[in-house]
Amino acid sequence: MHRPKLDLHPPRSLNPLQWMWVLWALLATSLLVISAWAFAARFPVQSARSVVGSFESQTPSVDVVLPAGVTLTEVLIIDGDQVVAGQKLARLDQIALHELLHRLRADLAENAAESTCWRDPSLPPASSGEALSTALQSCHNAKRHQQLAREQLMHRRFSLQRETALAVRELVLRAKNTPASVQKILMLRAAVERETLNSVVRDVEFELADLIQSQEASRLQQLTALEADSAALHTRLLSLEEIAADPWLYAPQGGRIERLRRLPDTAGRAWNVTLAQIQTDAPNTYQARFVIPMSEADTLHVGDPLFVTLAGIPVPQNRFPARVQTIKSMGTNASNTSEVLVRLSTPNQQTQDALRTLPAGTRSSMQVDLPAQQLGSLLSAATDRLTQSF
Amino acid sequence: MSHDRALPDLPLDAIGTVSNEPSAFRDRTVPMWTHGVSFLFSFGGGICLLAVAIFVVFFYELVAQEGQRILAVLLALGTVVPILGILIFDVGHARALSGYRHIRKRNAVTGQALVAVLAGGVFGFLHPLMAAPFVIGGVLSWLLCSMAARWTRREPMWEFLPQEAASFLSGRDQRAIDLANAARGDSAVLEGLQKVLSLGALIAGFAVASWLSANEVINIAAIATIALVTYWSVDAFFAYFRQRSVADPERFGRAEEVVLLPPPYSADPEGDNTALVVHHLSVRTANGASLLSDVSFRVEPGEVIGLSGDSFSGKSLLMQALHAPHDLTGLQVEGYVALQGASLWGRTGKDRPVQSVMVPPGTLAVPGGGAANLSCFCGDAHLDRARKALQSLVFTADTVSRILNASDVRHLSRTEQKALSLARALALRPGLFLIDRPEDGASESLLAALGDRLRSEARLGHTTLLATENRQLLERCDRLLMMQNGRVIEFASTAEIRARLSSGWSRFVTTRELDNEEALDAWLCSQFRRDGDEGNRRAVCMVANEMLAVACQAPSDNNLHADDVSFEFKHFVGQCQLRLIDPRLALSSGAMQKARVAADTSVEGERLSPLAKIMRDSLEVETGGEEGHGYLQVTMKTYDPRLQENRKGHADAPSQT
Repeated sequence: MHRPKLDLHPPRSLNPLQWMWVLWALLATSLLVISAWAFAARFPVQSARSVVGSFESQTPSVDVVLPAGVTLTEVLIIDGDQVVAGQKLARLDQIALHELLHRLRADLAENAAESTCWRDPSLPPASSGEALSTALQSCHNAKRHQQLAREQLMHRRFSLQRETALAVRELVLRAKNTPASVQKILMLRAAVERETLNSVVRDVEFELADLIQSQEASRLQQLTALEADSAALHTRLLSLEEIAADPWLYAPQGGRIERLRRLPDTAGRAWNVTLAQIQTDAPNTYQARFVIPMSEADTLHVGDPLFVTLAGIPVPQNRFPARVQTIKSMGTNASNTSEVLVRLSTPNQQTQDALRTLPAGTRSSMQVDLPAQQLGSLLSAATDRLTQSF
Repeated sequence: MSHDRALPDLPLDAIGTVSNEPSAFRDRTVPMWTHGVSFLFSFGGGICLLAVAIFVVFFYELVAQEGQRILAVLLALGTVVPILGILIFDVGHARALSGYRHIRKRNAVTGQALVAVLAGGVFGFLHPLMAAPFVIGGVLSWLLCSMAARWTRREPMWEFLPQEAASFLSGRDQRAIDLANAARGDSAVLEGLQKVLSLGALIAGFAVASWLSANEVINIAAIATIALVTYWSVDAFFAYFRQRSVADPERFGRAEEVVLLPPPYSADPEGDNTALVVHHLSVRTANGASLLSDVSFRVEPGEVIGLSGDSFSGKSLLMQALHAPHDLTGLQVEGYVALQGASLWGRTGKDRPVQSVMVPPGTLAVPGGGAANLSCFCGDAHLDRARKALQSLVFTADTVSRILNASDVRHLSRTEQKALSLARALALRPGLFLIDRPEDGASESLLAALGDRLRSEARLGHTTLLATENRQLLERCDRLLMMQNGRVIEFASTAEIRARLSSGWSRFVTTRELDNEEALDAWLCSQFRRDGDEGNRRAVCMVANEMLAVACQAPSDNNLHADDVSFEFKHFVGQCQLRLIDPRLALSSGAMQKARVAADTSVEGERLSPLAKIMRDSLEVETGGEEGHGYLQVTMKTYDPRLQENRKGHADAPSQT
């Protein structure tokens, strides 16, 4: 029979008040957390960290270059003219250009023949009766001279070998006709003589091998020089062919014409000549940048103020306020980093001029004091670093 | 006029100007969803605790590593947020479960253990090795707490020396009594084990986190946080298992079980809806010893029932079992007790009128002053009624005023405390009054007033069970319930019992079952209390058991329920008489003659019928019938052990020649 047992626990009652206290606690805690987070999101904390970046001065002007050997027929600009990129600046002499191209092609052919000469190991014919160029003749002469030096050493080696054999033979015959007590001494002497002469022969053989090696190195050096000349000639040929097709000198970029040179119209120079300079209008005459981890870069924004300190640059003021210009991710799977470009703000005019007039390519290390960050950002970054470790 | 005659007898507070509307009462309840609420608060507090640990990461990473010195102060201020969060959740928890401290504390420990499981799960998800200290700590906590609970001694609140016992048992130090009776705590060694295990978990957390950091699995900044969370979690695990090793305080002092039996079959179901019905009420100890055996009776509305019997007969236990069986510490209770068709044992958190009120011999009072204790904190309307009830008991205005104005009930005299308890019970107007030993601490006038008042309440239909030895009160009872050894031996009208007792006859009523031999023997033994009465007891019990067997051999009337038989006993000089009164007893003269012959011709070892055995062991056997009941009266020879002792003394004395 079922024997129902009474529940000895007190009966339960509905008490909505307890849920009110749950709600109160949740609301109070949420309010506290939201307040703290809002405070952290707005409270700036000056970072104690600094990173090292690089500063590099860049030229503000671009040269307008007249290629070597090219002459002008007409100059379309004067000093102070404002030009745009691609604008025609001067007209080139097309007839002179074609003549120059013809010479370059001839030089290329002669270069190729000389290269072929040096590559061919066989000796040229003693006299073919053809009119050879100077370079080719020089190649032939050098090869004959090398051959002669080798034969001279080989002949000497042969003579020494013959002399050794004869000397040894003489001593052996003499020993046969002497008493037995002297015979042994003479036999030893013959052995010493033979060894001495063999050593001289080996020295000559080493000398011969060294000569062959040096001759081969000289040949390769000649070939390398010829190939370099050939490449330069080929490049120049292509450039000139392009110029000859459109015989105009164009502005490489926009700006103001400065330092225009008056060149004679008749003769081309043997080297490239700067016809003029185009002064660009770009404000930055330098590039300042640093690299930081991407998690830290996330806390930076374009326009954030920074302080940078340049080392080793002779400017009146070496600590500048600066601002973040661009933030570029360099992230790869291996290293999650970002490159930050910085624009210096130099209130001092002298410092500005000093920076503008720095020679192009001047480099310096740069210490960057990171900007003040919100407390919340710092905490988020630290949390991200922590979670990334798992 | 009958109305004029009845009016003065009715209680003043019942017919006066005060409201007769019963006040709303409810049993003590505990709120629903305490576990859920506690878990929410514990979870919130645990999250705040974890947040404090996470701040350690920021201290290391931003201040120690990056040199952001200003952040040392800012982060220290930031930790105020989770710390305040812990305070908010703790205060909210305390307010939400205000007044339920032990429930709150137990639930909080459980909630913290759940948060620790959550933290261990998260750590295990990040790297399985980080969960190892959690698992090991949890298993060790369980093992250590289980072993300590099984094999170590629970620490008492105060362990007194034998020399000190005489002092506080002589009434010199109540605080010592309270401490000695306070519940025992858990094993003393557990506290130290908890510290050791928690610190071990801290070191294990450091070791695992350092190893993982060396293997570039985790950031070095997380080492301290992982160690701290591991420490807190294992501490929470240990606290949980330690709590499980201690019994729920809500079960402390409670009955072992209370089984509610189905209501008995009744030929008068409508009458049951107004009466007090007690059916098969039994109380046993945990080892099966019976304290109350199969008590069944029925009391009609408006009756005053007196409980009478020897000491240890179970009167107070019966009252307690009727009113609050849940409070019978460690006992097993079963039965059916209903008043006006509703079980008295059910408890509910809903408002309802009071069914029964018990007035124990001692004082029930709580802090709050005399007026509040008198009115059960129910306000002025109820206080007015209670005051009138009090006036009807003590009559003097000074006493009433002193009781009402008492700031501490314990400072009142015992009589005043008794008057307060009785007046409070009367003012509650329950359907059933259970008054245990009202004479304890009560004056004669108070008892007289109580008797008058109970009679008045009876006229209003209220039932009273009165366990008392006061003759005046017993005489005012309608019926008496005689108890002995936890059994009801008689339940009859006061006049009938008085008349029988004055004639020297005592009665035992029981059901017609052989199982009642033990109760019958106990009743008979109680008639022979003198030293050396063992022979009398043995002889009378043997005959009585045979008489019960004769009663059980009576033809059945096909009634499924066993009917009652009565035994009556009376001492005479040199003999006693035992009478069986059975409505179905019908012994013919032939059966009697046959038994007489069998008894006279019997030899030792021969099997005899019960009736023949009765005739063999008795002086005289008489049977007959009166008022529709048959009876079997046996006269047996007894001896006086005092006379035998005297004779033996004389025989042993040296002869004086």
